[in-house]
Amino acid sequence: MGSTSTKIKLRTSDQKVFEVEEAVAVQSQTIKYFYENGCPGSVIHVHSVSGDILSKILDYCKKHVNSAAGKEDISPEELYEWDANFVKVDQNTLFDLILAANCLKIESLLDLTCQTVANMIKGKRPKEIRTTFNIKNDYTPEAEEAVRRENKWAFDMLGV
Amino acid sequence: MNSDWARLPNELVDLKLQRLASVSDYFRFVPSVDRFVGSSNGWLVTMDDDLVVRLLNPLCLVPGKQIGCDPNTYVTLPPLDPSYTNFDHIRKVVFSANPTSSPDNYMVMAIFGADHHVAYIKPSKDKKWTYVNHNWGVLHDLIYYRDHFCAVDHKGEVIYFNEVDGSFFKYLPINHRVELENFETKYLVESSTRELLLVALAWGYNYIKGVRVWNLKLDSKGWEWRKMKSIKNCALFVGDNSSLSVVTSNFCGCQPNCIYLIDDYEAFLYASMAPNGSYALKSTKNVGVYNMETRSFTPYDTTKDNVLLPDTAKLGIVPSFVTFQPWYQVRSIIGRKELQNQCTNCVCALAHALNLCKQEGKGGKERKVACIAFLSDATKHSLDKDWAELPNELVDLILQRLASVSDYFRFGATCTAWHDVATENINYLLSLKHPMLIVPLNAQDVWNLYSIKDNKLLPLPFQVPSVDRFVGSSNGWLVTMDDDLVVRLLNPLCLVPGKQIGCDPNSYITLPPLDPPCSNLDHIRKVVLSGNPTSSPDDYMAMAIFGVDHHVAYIKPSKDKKWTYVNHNWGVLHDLIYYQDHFCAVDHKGEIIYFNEVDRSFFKYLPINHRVELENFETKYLVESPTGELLLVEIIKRWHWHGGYNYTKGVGVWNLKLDSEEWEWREMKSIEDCALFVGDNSSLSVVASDFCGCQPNCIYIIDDYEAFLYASMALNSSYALKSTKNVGVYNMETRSFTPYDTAKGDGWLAATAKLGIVPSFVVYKLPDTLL
Repeated sequence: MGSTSTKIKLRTSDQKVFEVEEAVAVQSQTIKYFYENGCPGSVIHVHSVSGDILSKILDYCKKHVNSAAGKEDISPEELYEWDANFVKVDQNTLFDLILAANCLKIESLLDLTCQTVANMIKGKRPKEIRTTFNIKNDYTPEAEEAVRRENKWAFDMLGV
Repeated sequence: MNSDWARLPNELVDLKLQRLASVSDYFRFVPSVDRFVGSSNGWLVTMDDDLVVRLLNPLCLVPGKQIGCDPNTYVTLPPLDPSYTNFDHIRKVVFSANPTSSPDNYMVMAIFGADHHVAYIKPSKDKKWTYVNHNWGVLHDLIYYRDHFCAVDHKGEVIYFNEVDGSFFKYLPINHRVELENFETKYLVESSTRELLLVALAWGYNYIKGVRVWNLKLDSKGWEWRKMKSIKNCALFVGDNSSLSVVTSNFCGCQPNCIYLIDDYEAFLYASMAPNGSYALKSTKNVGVYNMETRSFTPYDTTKDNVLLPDTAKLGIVPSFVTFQPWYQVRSIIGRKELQNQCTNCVCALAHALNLCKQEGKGGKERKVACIAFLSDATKHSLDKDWAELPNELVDLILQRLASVSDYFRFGATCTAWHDVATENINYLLSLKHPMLIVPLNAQDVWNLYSIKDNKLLPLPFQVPSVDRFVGSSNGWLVTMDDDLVVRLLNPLCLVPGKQIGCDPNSYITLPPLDPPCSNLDHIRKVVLSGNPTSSPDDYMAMAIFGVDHHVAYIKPSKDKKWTYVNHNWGVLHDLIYYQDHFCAVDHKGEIIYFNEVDRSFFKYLPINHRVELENFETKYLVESPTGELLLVEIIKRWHWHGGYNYTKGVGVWNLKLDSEEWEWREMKSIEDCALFVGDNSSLSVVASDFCGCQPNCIYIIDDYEAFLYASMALNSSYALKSTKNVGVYNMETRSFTPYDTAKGDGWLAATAKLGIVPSFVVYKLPDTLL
């Protein structure tokens, strides 16, 4: 394989073009579909993903493809750690990664990113969640109080 | 570049964060604080007129609360009062660790006075400060960097402090290829990549001419300050009292490649030396922002509206800012230990505390007001991404990965968009009023809910230490017994992985140990509750059958300090159920014994008509059918001589019929559309057509007490259940039994089969009300 492997061309929303090994690109079920059903050699347009994000995502795919194919000597623990570091990004990037993983249909990355967000939410109070994710509190005070009252025990656990 | 600071203010003062409001209120009552002299590990440092140094935890301060002795809020250090120098201001105080989490180990070091003396103290050990007579140049700054205090002198040389023997030394000679100006003010900052940076301010006549940045490189020969043309996407906050660096992409309140000068010790020093002796700092040209790209400095200007921190600018004075990083391990900040693990995820919040002095008329008392404003975190001000607009299906994915139902509720309380998703999920879960199974996960002590309805694992793991079998499941609570015979009720929906067993009555209830005088017991067969401990804490009763010979005990936790053990003369009791407001048990002959809660007596309600022959020695279970009938299930086991184990040969089902005079067990050839889940720890019935996970007319045998009993009696005395032939499914139509086979992936509970052991399942049903 190596140098002879087929390359797939991807164009991002900001018109950057990536040339990617087939094995890496088809980690995305969406790209795979277009690749298998489109004209050979044509550029696949990844409308909703920017160059920065795609480049990160391709890093991820490459790591996982190489590790699965045994090209890279990496233990599952090391890969796990690599993943953990991969998602240590600011919330904007994380947001984009989730959207991109979803639209590119990369199951494992979607799982990883969603789990990361879930971990950031676990045990937090609503106020803290809002702070972390820049969410505007669009409850009226009355509605918020009602929500709290309904589920008092969930809030009591945090001593709120 | 005025716009640099102009962007800051709108986001800066976030009054929604109530704890900040409390800080501002608090400081109204703090006398004589015009400048914070340090900020480390989530604590601020002040010095009052008596030279007493005080550490304050701003997030633990409460409005109106006086300075007290709560060590989570205040730590008072001895006065800094060196004999050899006359001083009235501290430049900077740094500490090595958090006083809350390391009260015995943290060390405090200060540089003070116009000529920058050094002193240190270990508050747990030392009664007074140790003053250092040093022969280095004037020390400009002090930092705690990579587990050492280190200071920088006017030549840019770094002096390390050895905590063990209290000595100072220059770690390695600095390579002086780069010319540092001796008289520029120097600051040490740790970069976001943990490099040590040196920031030097070049002075013109009383104004800042330029700012230069170096980073420390370790060569083979020595250390070297290497000049940086740009700090790229970093912003540095540099002050005489504290400094830090941030990655600007995480902080929309600041510009990349900029250095924010936030505190000016000398201005205070000279102000206090001035004849009027006022601490108030009327103006300084040295607070502001320096842009590394344009090489220009913009001072903080209180006369302009659109400058840095407009909320503070209108005060008309120049405050002393201080950077502040909350320490997430302080329990009282977060109120929850679990977050310790999430430090890395926690937003690194950077706050500016500012305080100011305001003269209230002639000779009036100084009234000090401080407010804290969060320059905030990565997320809050990254205005371009609105997480509330994340598509619902993705919110759903995140929600499903949360740890507990209580997280669902809090998640839903965040905003209306997420509320809808959470409500949908919660309703789904609650619609599961339908029964679930509790199954073990691979991870240690982690259990999960398994929806029989959808034949899949639910994303609600919980952790129960050292439990190999649940001994009961009633009203939304599970029952365990530990090695000390203590019986514990657990609410799995309130448990969170990693959380210790505590005293939260919503999650755990500890009952007295079950320690009968008459019998040697090491296993409980089954515990049944009469009500929900959450909604009826005063009324519910627990009853247990235990031991090889099936003794009975009961307790009313609100009233009784210990279990009441029943000496009965009926046959061996096989099962216990709470049916139509009564505990009732079944004995080996199939006779029903009722318990009268009022006088605590047992009685056979009516004689059973014995027209139907029940096998005396077969295991009997009681189950309430979906239509509310009482069913008796008899499982006929036979000893497999060659294999050396019991196997399930057949299952019979009877239902209790009330004739005019007597009760009668009437045999059922078929249970039709029903499926029964029968276990020694709990049983229930479902209408199979509602549950895609199960077959009609089938009996699922899910828990095998004897297998655990005998396993623990075996020589290796292991509680782990390697195998049993008695867990599986019996089909009433084909009259055949299929054991649960961990070797096959296509059996029932395929998701659990891969565990390789036979778990003790327990059925679980949410109570009607969650509260």
